[in-house]
Amino acid sequence: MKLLFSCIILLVSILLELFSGSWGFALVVSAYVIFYLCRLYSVGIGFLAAMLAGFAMDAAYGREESIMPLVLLAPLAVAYYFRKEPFYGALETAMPGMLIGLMSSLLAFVCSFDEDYLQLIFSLIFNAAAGCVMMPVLVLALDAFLNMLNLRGITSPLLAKLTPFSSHLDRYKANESR
Amino acid sequence: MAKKGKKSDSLLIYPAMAAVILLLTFAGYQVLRRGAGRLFGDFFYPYLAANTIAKNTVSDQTLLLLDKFELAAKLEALLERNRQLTAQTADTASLMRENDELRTLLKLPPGEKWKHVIAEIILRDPLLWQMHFTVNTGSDAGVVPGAAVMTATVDGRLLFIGVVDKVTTHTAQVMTVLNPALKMSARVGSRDAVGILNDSSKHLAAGMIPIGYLPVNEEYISTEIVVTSGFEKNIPCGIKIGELATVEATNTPFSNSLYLTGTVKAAAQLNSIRFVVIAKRDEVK
Repeated sequence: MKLLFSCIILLVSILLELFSGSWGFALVVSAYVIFYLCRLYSVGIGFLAAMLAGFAMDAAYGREESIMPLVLLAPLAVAYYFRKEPFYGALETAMPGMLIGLMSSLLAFVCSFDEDYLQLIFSLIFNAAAGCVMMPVLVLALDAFLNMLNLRGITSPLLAKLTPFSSHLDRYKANESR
Repeated sequence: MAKKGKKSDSLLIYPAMAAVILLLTFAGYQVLRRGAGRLFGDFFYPYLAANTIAKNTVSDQTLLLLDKFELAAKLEALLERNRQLTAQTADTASLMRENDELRTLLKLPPGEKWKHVIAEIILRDPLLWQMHFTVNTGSDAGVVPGAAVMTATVDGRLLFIGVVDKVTTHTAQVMTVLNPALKMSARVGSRDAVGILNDSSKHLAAGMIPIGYLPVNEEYISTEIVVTSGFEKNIPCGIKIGELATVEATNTPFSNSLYLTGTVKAAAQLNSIRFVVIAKRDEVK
């Protein structure tokens, strides 16, 4: 069930990205979904999904060069960086979302050999803001859907009730280590 | 010692296996890439077409929000335009008939005849926006790779956009003139000066195309019209590509260059195109 769910969300994210691409803006929905899959399974599975999604999107766009598999390394890097960070609520994923937006814009700029630096700045601002908003919304929706299927998502709201702010837990851990 | 040997073996085997897997993945990717374009083109087609249908439905519903008098006025204007176009078509048909008769009298081979297919853009690449796009017509409508893709202006003139690159059953990928990979001949003005578009991949301002191999012994004027030469099998002759913007200045007596290079300003506005016209060669038996 979890695998089917993962395949469906990956396909839907690819379609959403293709639709948004046709409107002229590169909204990296698949990157957010790959980050989610990295948290749900592992970075290795995320890598497989990233390569598959990247390959499919490049083939659909008819690109001669491989751009998307490289762009989709951004969520993998972010997922690896945050691999030990627990997410108590969807809002805490805003920071990884912003990082994914920034990194994927930068990688897309480099991979497409573009030289329009002004466009890059706008793209960075847009994708950082979009990541900040979209990532928590996506996590909230996908976790809710997984909970409906009696499966566990990537956030732990129960733990959040016990420790409303993650910083409290960090402080507690720091005190304990002393 | 034996334990140490085993450990060193596994240290060698794992990276070797990883390297082999990576190599196989890369090789498979390179081999399957061309075929995958066809497969994914057709796989995504129903979803992309659904998106287009939804977009058109919203557009139609928005049109229905207009006042009925306004709609009636628009309909009247459209009917008037249709009548004008019908008259123009009748004129063109008589000219074509006359041309055929003259060719027969002069014992010349029959002229090239073209059919046109209308297609809608269903997918555009946000990263390479001006370089290529996908349309909703494929080999089922007789579109072939290399076919000319054009757009029509408000006054009914055709402007050259690019050529069909890859074709699937329901879709076709179009490579535009702004794509450095599209190298084709173009005629400058009405003379015999023929150059090659995108002869170099130097970065130019948006909407500009490099042109090279222009004959040295010709006088070039900026804003001169650049049209298709007709040398390519599936591209009709005389379709406007753009206007000559610059040609490198040479002092012929002291220059040993055999050709000139320059830039062409593309006529078609690729940012706002929605429908395109694809030329099909009408094979006369």
